[in-house]
Amino acid sequence: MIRIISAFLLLSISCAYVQAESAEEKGLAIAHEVDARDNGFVDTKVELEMVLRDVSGNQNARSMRLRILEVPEDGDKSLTVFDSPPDIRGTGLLTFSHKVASDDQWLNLPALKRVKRIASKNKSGPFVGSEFAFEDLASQEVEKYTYRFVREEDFDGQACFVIERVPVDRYSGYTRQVAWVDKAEYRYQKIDYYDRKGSLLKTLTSTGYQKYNGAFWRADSMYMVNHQTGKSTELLWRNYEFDTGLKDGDFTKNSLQRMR
Amino acid sequence: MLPFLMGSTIELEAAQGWVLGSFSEYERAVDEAARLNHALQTEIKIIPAETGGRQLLRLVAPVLSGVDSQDFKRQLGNLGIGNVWLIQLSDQQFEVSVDRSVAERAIPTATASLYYLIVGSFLDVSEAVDVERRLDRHFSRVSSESVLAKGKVFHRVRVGPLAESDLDLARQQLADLDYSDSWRQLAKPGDVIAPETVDDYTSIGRYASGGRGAIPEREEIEIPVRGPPPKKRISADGESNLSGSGAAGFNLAVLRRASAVFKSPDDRADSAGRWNSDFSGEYRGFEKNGLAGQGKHHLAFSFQTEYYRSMNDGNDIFAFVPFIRWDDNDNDRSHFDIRELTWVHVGDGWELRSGIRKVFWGVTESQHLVDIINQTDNVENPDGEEKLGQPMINLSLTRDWGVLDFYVLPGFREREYHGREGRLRIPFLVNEDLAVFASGAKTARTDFAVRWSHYIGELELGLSHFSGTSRAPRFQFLPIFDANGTFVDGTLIPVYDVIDQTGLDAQYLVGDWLWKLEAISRSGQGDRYTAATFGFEKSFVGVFDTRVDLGIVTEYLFDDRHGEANAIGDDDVALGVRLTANNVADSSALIVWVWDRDTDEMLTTLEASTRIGSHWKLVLEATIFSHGDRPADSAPGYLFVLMDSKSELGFFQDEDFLKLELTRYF
Repeated sequence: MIRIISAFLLLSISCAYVQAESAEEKGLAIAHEVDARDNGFVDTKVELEMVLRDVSGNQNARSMRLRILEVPEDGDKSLTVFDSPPDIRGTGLLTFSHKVASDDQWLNLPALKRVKRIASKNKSGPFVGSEFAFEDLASQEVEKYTYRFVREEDFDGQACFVIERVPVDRYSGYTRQVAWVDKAEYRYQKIDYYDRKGSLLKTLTSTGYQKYNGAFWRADSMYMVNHQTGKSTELLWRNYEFDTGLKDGDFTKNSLQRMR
Repeated sequence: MLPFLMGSTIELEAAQGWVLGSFSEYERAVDEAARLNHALQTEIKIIPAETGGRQLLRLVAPVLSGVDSQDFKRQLGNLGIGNVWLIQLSDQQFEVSVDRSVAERAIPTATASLYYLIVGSFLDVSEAVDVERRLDRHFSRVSSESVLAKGKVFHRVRVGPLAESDLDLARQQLADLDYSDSWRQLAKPGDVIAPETVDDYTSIGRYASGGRGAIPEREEIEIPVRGPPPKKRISADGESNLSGSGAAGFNLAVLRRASAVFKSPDDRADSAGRWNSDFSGEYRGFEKNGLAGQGKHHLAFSFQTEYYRSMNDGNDIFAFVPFIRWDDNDNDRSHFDIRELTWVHVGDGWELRSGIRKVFWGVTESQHLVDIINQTDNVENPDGEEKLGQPMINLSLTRDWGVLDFYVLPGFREREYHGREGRLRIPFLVNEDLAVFASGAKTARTDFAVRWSHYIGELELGLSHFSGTSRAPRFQFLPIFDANGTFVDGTLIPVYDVIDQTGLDAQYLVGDWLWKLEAISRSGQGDRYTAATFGFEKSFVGVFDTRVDLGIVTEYLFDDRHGEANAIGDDDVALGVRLTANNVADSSALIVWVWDRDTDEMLTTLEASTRIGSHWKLVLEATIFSHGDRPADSAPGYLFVLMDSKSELGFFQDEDFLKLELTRYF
């Protein structure tokens, strides 16, 4: 009798446990869905213009071309070549990102005809002087964070899931991030970044989402504002192209040196 | 939801409107208008205005009766809009429209409509994919879309978008492939090539507004056919397609960004070559006059241009880089060089590079032992970082086991030396005309080199071999006597030996430590000798809670010709510190100390650079030679120092200098 009762209790407890999806599980599920929505683009070619603004409204621009190759079961390969300002024209960055291990990165210095392997364990530093850190622009793998679902909230007129994510990498510049993901298409609408002291450091808003090839949503514009310094960086993405036939051979030290 | 931008050309209903914001850029105005329209559920007008000599676009929400202004202001507050003010709308004569159908009519006729040619509709997805694959070989743009019609899902394969004039040719091509029933369909808003500039819209002026633009029908199901695990994404209702300010259809800014549907960024570079140039002015100030009485102030200019052209989708590359230096004091420093004149052909797993080129091998910072192919441009900069162009044919093979490079190097370039008025030279002049070559062919000799490089995870390796005329000469000393037979001067004659040099370079990355090694073994220039550089580089990201990165480089330089006057870097320690500001101007500073353990001499160099504006760069360099023995001021004194293995920097004790270089980029 006792055995039956205890078995029954055990069953009911386990049922109750299974029914309530934990906040962590829900957060992870949302993150997986965002990632899944992005799978299958094969490769990308895109132009990027970056506008850096300081508190006084002074503006500086950088422009670059990016190529990205999707690698099955691993992080993406990417090749970035700068077009302006003219003194860094032709400088290139080749990155092989990985799900958890640190990325392999090479820098091409065209004036010296030299390709340098660079240490990329710590990606918290700014990318070309902007408000975007290397880790903000790196390929966002699910394994890089632990997640927790917070609440549902509207942002910019869209119903969103709000999830909190904590970077796994101890070199990350953030203690946590809070992301608004729209329920309709699972796209990042806003991300709040909290620095090492736990204060709100920056906010990223992505707007102008377009659907490419009938499947992939990409934002036209990303705006990162640093609340502590008042500086901001705007990314304007242009001329997205997908599935253009890029191969591994287009992402080598040789191909990095070729592109100017 | 109220229709976006409804209203007739002359607005009589609402006499007043709230100005919610002003923009100087059309795109920002439209984006913000869409955002506010969505958030406030009210009409937003875009009205051009001029204030303080500037053209602005104002976003105006007409005041509606029945809407409490306090409520409305609170709503605006929630959206981050604080300062709003009222204007009279009836005074407005112009209004900027974002209605696509109207704008299309107003688009100059030079921009034609685009069409898809629907090749066929299939119920079976795999059939559609097969057809698509087949057509992919013949047409540059083939795509598919899935539509729900008559209760079934059809997969349409289509070619395009094409201009109307190209349709007939495409139809013919399809007919040749046995697809004779193609029919045309007007390309949808997201695919339309819009006028090149936004001004084409705003300058059109006044036209009627209205309507929503094309919104996909509720029943449409889109199933992407390409790519691994296709995910069904069903737009449950029309709402989801309107989400966000970037909703397709009514946003002209969207149309503008969808331009250049055919052209990839690299294709655009393909069609026309690019010229990039820079012009520099350089001032060098020396602390003292030179040993031979050279002046303290030196002015020089240089100009370099690069022509770059990429063809065949990046498989053929042509580049031409001429360089010219003009030095105010030293004629021998003024020179012209073709740094590059090259054609690169890219194949599958191989590259053929020919012409005049520059090749760099190596991983260390303080000296580059392994780097041998290019002759040093000795008069440009004493640090040896500048090189002369070298004619070559280079075949590069990429395999799983590494990259193999073969070099055929026809022609040899002699090293150039400073003239009488030049600084940073030893007091005896070098007579290049009397140069001696071990090779009978002299400068016409063809040299060879090969290099294998590979990386395995964090380890990068390179093994190379060079066989040919040494780029760095030995010297023979020719004394000059006066009428009395007194030794008063001398000439140095460069001797170019034929050498064989095997080089090894390796780099190992552990966390943020980068361990580096370069080692060479050379024969043919005296006895066989070995030299190596070994060290590490560590970077600290964001020191002291700032954005500044700190990098430390330490290297040990070794040469087993220890004791010979020739060897520089025979038992030296180098320490370098680099600060990178990570600011908008990309400012950085590097200070390097090289200390010779044997002679106790020290070389200190500081280099700082920053960008000014977007086209200028300023570089400051300081070089200090210290702890050396300054030679006695006479020819025998100089000769003594030249032969003394305990004095490597003796001649340069008075050569401390500061350099300022300003470069303008075009």
